[in-house]
Amino acid sequence: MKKSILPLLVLSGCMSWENLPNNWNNYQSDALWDADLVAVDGGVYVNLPASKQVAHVKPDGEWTLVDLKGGQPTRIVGAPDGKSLLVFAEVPFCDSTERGIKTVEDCLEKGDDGDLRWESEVDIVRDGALIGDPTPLGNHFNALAFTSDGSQAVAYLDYSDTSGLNFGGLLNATEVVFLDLATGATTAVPVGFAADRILFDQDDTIAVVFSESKVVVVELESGNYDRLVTYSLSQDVDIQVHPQDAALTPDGRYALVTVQGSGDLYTLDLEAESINIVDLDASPSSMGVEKVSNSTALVYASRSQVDVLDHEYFDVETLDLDEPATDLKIGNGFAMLYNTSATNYHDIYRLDTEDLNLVEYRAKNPVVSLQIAPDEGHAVVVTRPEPASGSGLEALTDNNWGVEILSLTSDRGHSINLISESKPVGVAFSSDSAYALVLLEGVDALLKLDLYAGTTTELALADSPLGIGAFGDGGFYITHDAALGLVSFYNPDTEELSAVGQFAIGGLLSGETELPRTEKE
Amino acid sequence: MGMRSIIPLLSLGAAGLTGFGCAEYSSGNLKNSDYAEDADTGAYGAEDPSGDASWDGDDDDLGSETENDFLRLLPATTDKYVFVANPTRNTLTRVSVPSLDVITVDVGTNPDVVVTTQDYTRAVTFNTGSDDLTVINANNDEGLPEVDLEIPVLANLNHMVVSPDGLWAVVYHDSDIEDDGTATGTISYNEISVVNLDTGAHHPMVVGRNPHQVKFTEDSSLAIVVSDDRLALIDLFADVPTRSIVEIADDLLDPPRAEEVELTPDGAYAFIRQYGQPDIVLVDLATNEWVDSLPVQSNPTDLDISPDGTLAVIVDRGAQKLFIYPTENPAGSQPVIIDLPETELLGSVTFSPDSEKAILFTTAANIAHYTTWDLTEPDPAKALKTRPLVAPIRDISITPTGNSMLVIHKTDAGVDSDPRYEHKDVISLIDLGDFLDNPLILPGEPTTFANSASGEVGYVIMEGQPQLTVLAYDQLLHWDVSLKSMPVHVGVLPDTNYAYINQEHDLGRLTFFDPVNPLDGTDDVIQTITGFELNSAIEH
Repeated sequence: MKKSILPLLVLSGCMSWENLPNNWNNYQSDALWDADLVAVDGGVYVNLPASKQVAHVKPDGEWTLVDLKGGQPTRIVGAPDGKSLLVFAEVPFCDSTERGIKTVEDCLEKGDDGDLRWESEVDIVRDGALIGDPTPLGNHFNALAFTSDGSQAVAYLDYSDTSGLNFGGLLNATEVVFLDLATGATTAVPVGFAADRILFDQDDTIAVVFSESKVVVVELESGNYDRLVTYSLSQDVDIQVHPQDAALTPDGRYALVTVQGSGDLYTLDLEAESINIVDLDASPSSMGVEKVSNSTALVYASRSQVDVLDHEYFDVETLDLDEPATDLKIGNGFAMLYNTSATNYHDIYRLDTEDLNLVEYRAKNPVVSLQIAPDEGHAVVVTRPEPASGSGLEALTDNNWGVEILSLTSDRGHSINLISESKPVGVAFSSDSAYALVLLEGVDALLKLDLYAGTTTELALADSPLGIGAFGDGGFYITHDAALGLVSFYNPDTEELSAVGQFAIGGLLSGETELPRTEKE
Repeated sequence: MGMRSIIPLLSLGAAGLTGFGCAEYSSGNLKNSDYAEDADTGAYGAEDPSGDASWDGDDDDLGSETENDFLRLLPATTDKYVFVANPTRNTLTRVSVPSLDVITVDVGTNPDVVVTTQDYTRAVTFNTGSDDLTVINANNDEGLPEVDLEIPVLANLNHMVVSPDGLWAVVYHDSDIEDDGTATGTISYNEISVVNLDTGAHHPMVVGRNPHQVKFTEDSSLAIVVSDDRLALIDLFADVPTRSIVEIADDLLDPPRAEEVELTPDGAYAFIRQYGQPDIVLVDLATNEWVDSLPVQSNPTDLDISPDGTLAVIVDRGAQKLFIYPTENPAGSQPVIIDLPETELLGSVTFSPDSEKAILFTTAANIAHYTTWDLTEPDPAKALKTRPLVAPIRDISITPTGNSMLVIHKTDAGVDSDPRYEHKDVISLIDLGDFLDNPLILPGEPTTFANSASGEVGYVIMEGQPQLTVLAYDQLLHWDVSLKSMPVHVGVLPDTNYAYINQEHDLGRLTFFDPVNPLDGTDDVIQTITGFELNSAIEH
């Protein structure tokens, strides 16, 4: 929720009343809440940028602010256990020896330049409360990768999102930090420049860290996070190899690395500790590992082909497509190939990876996104408008957004095409894969789309939606375009919708910023 | 046949084993590289500068019977591994077959030659940058290659050969290898290093001037270093290797070049063919004496011991005769002389493995004929039969079974050549039973070929062509296999049909090809590994 409110006149819920502003007016430039929330078993966590708080919102209508011991959240990340939240936070400290400094404002006023400093940390939150002590962490880290059991994480710098990065001083971009989420212990491990992708084996015994021209394998069992092997992807320091995508084969033996601007696909044998390079025709735009056939599918933005790489001999089988595909989604025994570039390609393909049977679907309009239903019987595709090329229904289709249902059991590319009155902003599937829940921009309704019939029923929403996600056991949450925060929880069994709102004002009027961890005088 | 590249490698002896280990297959490199092209006889450079080698019926002024040489720094093989030296990184990479697992070990500086021993237990690199040998256990108890020994040798040497038993290496300065000009300090071309690969003991010694070939007896008891005017016989069974010198020229001021040395299988005698000499020098290896000069008529151009070891056959191109001496008690023996067809020019001979058949031909003139010699036929008139080809001959290889033959042709027009094949890169597959042939026009100049020990398949790579051409000898058929980049060398793993193709790539590339069923070109298994040189930079 990036929209701010100017002015904020209505205050309610659990706000603090101790420090009401003069004239009851408060101007905010930061967004009050971020709709990219994190769902956990008991509710959702919402980052509140304006008040620099995290709200814990529950379906029963209650919401509370998480006590981060003065930490100001910059980013929140959900852990794979479905219970834990990790909060990147900053904490102010004042190095001035002047007496009576209790707030950031005091420090700025009474202290010298440079007395105010911010330290970064990561906080672990469960059930709405901070667990253990905050863990100091370099302030440039902005992303986490988790082991499958969620017991360990690796903090790294996501270079694709360095907006607002304020590292101060010297940035060491050659290491990542391993976190033991049970103890909060951290271990910095040098892994090479610009590490931005971390994979874990099935048993969470090793982490594979991909950086510029280097891949490092780190053991996770001893607690020492020793580097086991370092693979160099180049012999010449003048030649930098920039990984584009990386994946592990299902057995965890091989790491596959595609490279920006090159058709080289590096296969790193993690058992025999050796490197092989597979020649591809170009740098793939997307890669996906399929378990049933034990193969990897690769597509290219610039080439009308899909390559299938077997994991035994690493032979490449190339199948020609009518149109290039930029993206793929992997199912069990198949891959869906589609194109989300700014071009006007319409083709979608289902590649059965075992027999390399290729089924073509033709979307009415260019594809924006594709999601596969849990039972893999259908996929739902969102399409965007394109310049009209005809008249009548054809022109209507071209001019509008669309939702298309693909039958994944069809060998004839069967699909149901629906014209959407506005931009679809969210798609989610029921657990039985019988229907999809679709949200449209500006439409205060939850659409239940029958995946077999293509028919819809509507449930009224409290406000226009922003997005939808899974919550709890078969439930959903829906975020709304409401300045003060609004989340609806949907129980598909009872078809009840319960809305919780105004949590974004939590802590908003708390006045000056205290120095939370300054020793008492 | 001297350094002819087309004979089965086991009989190549010392020089021919380089890079091929002990592979029981035939192969050849058809491009010259570090080695000067070997000219066995006749006048060096006597060939018409214009390249016109058309025959006017006179042996005078004809060039040599050319025999193509091998590339250096070839991979070496055992039955399970291919070893590739990486001179730029000073490492040796072991590739397991068929798993293609790659493991790299450090060796000395600039490993320039890699050899595997016949028992497949060792790989040895000669590191010209550090003037030493690295002896590597091919597969230790943990299944890994492991450096056993690093043994210093004399400086400024350029080649290494290993004895059949894998116990001895002889490192020397081969005068046939073009000097790269990097030698420093005081230089000797006569000094060699004899190294015990078990103990690491180094025995430097001096041999005759300009050594250019080293041979071993089959039992590895003796190493014979061939120089222009003398042989150095090194007793490897002695407690300490001892050297004897045998002069093999009467005119020591201007000795003829010893072009070809053949040893009898029992190691009793050495037959030496010298440039321009009308007789063959016979050395008794038991007494280390020049015991006889076996006469031929005018210009012997080839000398071969038959595969069964019973005959020493000399082709006298000038006289158009074959001189056949027994290998048992040859001293003082009289040759059997066979007149060759008067209308033909024949200067080379190659035998089938069963010694019952041989092919006579010439590479010195552009003649599109070859002559078959049936050794089981007592009547010479019936034993010799001349047959046509589509183009003149550049090289010939009989498959290990003797059932088929591969002919690599010159691109020139020649006597009785077929105009449709002129100025094209052509090879012919020939069935040696019914002599049916299948000429194949290739898309590029063939550079290397290799035959499997089974005789079922052969492989050819070409200049500038990213493809492997597979030859199915029994059917005289072929098919092409695409490669990822330009091939440099092709070889076959011992006792298999499994080919490996070393290819151009900055980080190293090998393709392995298994035809599975050579009768069916659709079940091939092709695997390529690329970038194995990166393995040497893996850190633990």
